[in-house]
Amino acid sequence: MVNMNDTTHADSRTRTAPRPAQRVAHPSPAIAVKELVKHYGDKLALDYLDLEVRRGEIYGLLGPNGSGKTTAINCILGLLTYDSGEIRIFGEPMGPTSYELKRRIGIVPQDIAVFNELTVEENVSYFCSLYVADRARRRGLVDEAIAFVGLDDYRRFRPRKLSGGLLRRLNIACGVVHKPELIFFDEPTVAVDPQSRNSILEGIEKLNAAGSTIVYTSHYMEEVEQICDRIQIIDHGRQIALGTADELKRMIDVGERISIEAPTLAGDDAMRERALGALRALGAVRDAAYGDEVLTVSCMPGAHNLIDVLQELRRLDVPAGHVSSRTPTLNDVFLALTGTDLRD
Amino acid sequence: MWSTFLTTLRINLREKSSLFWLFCFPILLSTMFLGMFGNLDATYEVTTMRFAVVADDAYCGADGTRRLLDAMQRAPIRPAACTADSNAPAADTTSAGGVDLRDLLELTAVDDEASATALINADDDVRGFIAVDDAGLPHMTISRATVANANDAMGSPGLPVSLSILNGAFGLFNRQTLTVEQIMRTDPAALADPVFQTAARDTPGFTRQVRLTNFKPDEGARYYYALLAMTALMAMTFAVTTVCSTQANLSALGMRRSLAPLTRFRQLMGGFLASWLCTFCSLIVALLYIRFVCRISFGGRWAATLLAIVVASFTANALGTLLGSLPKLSAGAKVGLTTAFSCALSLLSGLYGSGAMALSDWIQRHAPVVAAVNPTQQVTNLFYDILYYDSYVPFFRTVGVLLTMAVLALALATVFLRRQRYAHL
Repeated sequence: MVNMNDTTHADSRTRTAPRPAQRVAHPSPAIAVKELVKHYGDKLALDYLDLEVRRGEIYGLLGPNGSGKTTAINCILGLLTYDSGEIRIFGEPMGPTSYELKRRIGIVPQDIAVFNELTVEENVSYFCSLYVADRARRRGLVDEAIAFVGLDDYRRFRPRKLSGGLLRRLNIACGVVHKPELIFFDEPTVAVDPQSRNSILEGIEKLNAAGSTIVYTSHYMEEVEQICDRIQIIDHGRQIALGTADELKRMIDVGERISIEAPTLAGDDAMRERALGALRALGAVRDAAYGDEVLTVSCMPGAHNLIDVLQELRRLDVPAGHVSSRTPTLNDVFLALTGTDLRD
Repeated sequence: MWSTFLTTLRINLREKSSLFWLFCFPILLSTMFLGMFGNLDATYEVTTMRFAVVADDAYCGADGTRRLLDAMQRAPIRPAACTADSNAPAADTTSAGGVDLRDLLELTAVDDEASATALINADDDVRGFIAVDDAGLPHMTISRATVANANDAMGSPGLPVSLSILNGAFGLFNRQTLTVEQIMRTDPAALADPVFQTAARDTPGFTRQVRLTNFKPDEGARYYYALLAMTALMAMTFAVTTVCSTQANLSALGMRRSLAPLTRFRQLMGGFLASWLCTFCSLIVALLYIRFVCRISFGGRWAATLLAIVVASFTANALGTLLGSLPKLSAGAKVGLTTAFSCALSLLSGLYGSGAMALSDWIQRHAPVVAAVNPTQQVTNLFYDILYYDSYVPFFRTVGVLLTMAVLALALATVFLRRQRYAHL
């Protein structure tokens, strides 16, 4: 493994190329969940949820608060009871006493799950000991994990002495020290600075490159877009969408959004209505609006209309100031699919 | 399991609040008890009192009084003024209970009452003076300082009881002397009557001290034993924390541990053994302090005392495991419950003073079942049994009660913890 601090930051492009691990055909997926149903009293938390994570991929699980993603993960890990459905990990049924399967799984919970009374090294060593009985092997794994997260200089530090970013890294080291084949990352970058976040994301990609399958949940859409091969969006305990980031963007009826500063339209109602009408008449434009001295033009998915829009404004003799064009993001997809209402 | 054992041990020994409550607090409370009860025994011990004696003609002529005073001194004085000294042996003042009254007085001879008064006014260590009247009877005068000290049993332990003994001895001596003298005047023949002689020798109304228990009862010891019991119960926190840290619904740490392939039983067993060891150590530290600093006896029965510590710490951890396994309670609530239980049960075992001790005794007499199910009472009884009973039967009976509690607690905890999965997290 490589020290997460030694490498340059990954660029934030969407992942498309399959990793080496994905090229190997496996008889069974890493996780296969079929028609999972879970109630909390009268409230339906999981509504016949299906989920399949292929071996070797980074799988993003997205959903608003209360959508059921944490419940789904806890059911998959055998922590929560469920009403019906089937959960298999590496082809084997998963339950609370599936110790051989548990040996192949790592978890990095959102909350820091370490002992405050132990040093960094003792924490990593203890969690490793729960998986690896051989002491000599354990020593090597602990050294590797500490180096992997860049905590070599903090071996003797207790968690209280560590910053938020270093704590997150310790949390990760404790979850991956035994080199699991399947790792769950539950919002691992919450409340960390951009440098630590980049470092964590790079580390996840390296773990994946080394052969681990990753299930990643986050509310940071750009992170999910950056590292996940496939993304599942769930809401109200159901799957809303599944695919690569590009596939998801194609699913929604939102395209390029163009913003143009046009202060002269503010005082000329006739000209403004004429300009808005002309823009709306363009074939690929879905809608046009004016406010705060800015013209906003929403286009159809897949279409690029900046040149046409600017030409139309020139024809109408409307002077244009600052112009920006933004293609849809995963955030747009997420909001389009799950709505903009506030959740608990 | 070994790794969990070592890790739990490290955690317990690095947790500052646990260290304070389980290692420092018993020592602090013992020290407080030492201040409160340390003089309790000394209050009932005879202390040597310095007195002046007016060695005038009346004193020199009162053979009986001089024999009485000689019997109450380690080194009887022979005032120069008394040329015709008595060679009669001193009276036997050694009681059956082992109290030697020769330690009662240290006398200084003075010429007259004025000198005696001057001496007791000048020297607070001289408690008073003894003068003999014309009838040959002794009378005691005590100094103002002694009057003040006699009301402060804690400040001057042993003084009040020693003054009482001296006063009682003089009173008895004077009454019997006057009685005999009156009979000699009115009916001398009666002196030859064996019934009269027996009646004159007898001391009706006196109490003879006998020992029925293995050790002389020590009022203060029960408080220290109750303190050991409270320490044991407070140490339940170790087990409670250990169990909570394995429960997925209580913390992320619990969730992480629940997902490990090491079985819950082995994790809990490692934690239990470590907590047991920590409790044992905290009790040993408290016990050594109580024994060697506070000088509270455990009857010299070290093997039984060690077994008592083993059993008390095991039971405390079993009860802690049960508290830790209670469903639907947060970790904080469980720790709070542990502290509340320890404090409340310690009240019933008499830790908090004479009122609580009276309550404890009342419960033992009138509600023995409540006492039997109170673990602090039973742990207190463990040490009490060791000290007071010749036989080990009461001790092993108490061991049996505590082990039964422990087994029941562990059985219940097993029911709660076995294959625990959660409907909510």
